Amino acid sequence: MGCNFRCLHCQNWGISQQIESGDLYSEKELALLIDDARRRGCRNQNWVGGDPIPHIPFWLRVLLHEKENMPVFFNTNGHYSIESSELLRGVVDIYKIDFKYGNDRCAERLSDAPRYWEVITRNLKLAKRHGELLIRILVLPNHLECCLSKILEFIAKELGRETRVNLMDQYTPHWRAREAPEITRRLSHSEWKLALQMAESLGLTNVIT
Amino acid sequence: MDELWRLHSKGLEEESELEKSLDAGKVSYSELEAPKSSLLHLKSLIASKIMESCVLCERRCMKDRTRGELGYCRVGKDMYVSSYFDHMGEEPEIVPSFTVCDRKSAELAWDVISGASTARTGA
Repeated sequence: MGCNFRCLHCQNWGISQQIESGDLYSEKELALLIDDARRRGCRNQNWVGGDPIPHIPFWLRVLLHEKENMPVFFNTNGHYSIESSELLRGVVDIYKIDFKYGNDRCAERLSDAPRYWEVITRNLKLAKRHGELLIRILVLPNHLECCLSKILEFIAKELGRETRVNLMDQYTPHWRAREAPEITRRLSHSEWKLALQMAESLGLTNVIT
Repeated sequence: MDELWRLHSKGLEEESELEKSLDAGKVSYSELEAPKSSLLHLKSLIASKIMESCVLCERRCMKDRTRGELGYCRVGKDMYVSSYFDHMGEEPEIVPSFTVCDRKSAELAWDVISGASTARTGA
């Protein structure tokens, strides 16, 4: 938790449902752990969540305490404000953004996310300008036409066919997915084949699966 | 706040100029003095102010999280860390990746236990 979305099919519900509260670390303690990780060869600090957006003020304070120069990997659903985008600029090295939906209706119904398309497309363009961009797409069953095709088209047209894209087939109906009948199963073999075809026919050249 | 954002824009421009000089080999890191305050300090200050009427995410719920109010995200003033580990399962170009996961606030945990929360949970 600690997330600005409410995905019915949350894939991390195991974490979000643990009922004891987490541990409180000071910014300094966390910075020491990160410096240690850098020294033993970790390549970046991966800010996850829930989503790291609500924690940006905290993370900036952690950075002030860090001694090592450790690249920042911002692991987000991409639904941050223009103010946050400005704060992240010059701080984040790699923007890893989940591109989940191809239209506002699906985003609102499955993740309770307002104005999804406008926000995600704006932030993807800015992320590309301000750092390295890595897009993750978890392909949802029955959302190939309404979502995946629009997502891939946008990437090919607006971000470039060389954009790094991780296309993922491991969707599993978790959490409250049963409330949305069309996503109560895993992706079928033919859907996955179609997803790969879509990416190929748009000429995307930097896809990992 | 407007003044802080103006300083921020200026800082970003200076940073970008400095980066160019460094890349071009006109300046070297070792010649630079450690600044007393930096663009990062300014960012941190602005971020704390934004939390008073929070618009960090596009939901813009404007809760005063500095006083412990919880946003739609159910995060208040502090970050609770649920786990950290060297992540080997990310994309090959980024592993090993030192990963820090947060967790919901203690208040929400109690809501869930007591059944008081009707909000959807889960990320």
